[in-house]
Amino acid sequence: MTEKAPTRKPFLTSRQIGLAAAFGAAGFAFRGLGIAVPLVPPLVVDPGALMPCLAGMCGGPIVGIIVGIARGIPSGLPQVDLILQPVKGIYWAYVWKYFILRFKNERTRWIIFWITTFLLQMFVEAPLFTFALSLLGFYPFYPTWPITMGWYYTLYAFFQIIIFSAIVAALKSLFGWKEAKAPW
Amino acid sequence: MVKRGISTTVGVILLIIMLIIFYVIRELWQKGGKPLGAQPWYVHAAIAVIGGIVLFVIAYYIHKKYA
Repeated sequence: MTEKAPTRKPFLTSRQIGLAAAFGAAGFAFRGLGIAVPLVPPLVVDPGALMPCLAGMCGGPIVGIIVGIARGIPSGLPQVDLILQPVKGIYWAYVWKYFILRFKNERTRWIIFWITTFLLQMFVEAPLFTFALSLLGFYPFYPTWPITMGWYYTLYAFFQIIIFSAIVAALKSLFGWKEAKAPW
Repeated sequence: MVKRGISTTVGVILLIIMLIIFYVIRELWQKGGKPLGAQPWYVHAAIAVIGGIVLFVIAYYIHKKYA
């Protein structure tokens, strides 16, 4: 009788390594070269900050962490971005797999995706980053952030929704959209 | 035929090397700033790149839908 040895799931598959390299390079290049639309200084709309989220969605939390580190390295405030960008990759991976992709109807899923993106931006990412900035003394009084920064994060949320939707719509199989199953 | 990808260990080592290269670029050249920020065409270039990405994705999506 021959027994087949149980196959261990690798720490990272070839696909995940490729995704980490591709999204990591994009995240680094966008921020490193400063390819961002400036609003009121020092606020910018930076597509590089979306890479950890997208990487988490299509590659899982570990890929999200690696891409978050790649995005954090060229930051002007690495003490903030090296911690919080990987965190974005982690929570987006799980929200994508265990919440958004649970909706089988595609039309409903799109609406849930847009609402979730907006809510995560306004109630998770924005408070986290503003809190970190306030700890470093870059923001004077933390509880006032919705009044002073609310407009910026709202604008950023819509920017995020447009970019996310465009990329997911174009690369549905990469994100497991058609099958409604995360590919990791 | 067995289909093989790169081994996890090699892949992880390559990713670590990539991050080290990024760190070296930051320390030696970029220094946390925006190296292209001083250029007068910087804002237009940034808008063009982001707009270009969105347009490219839309064009690709339309092509895929009707191909």
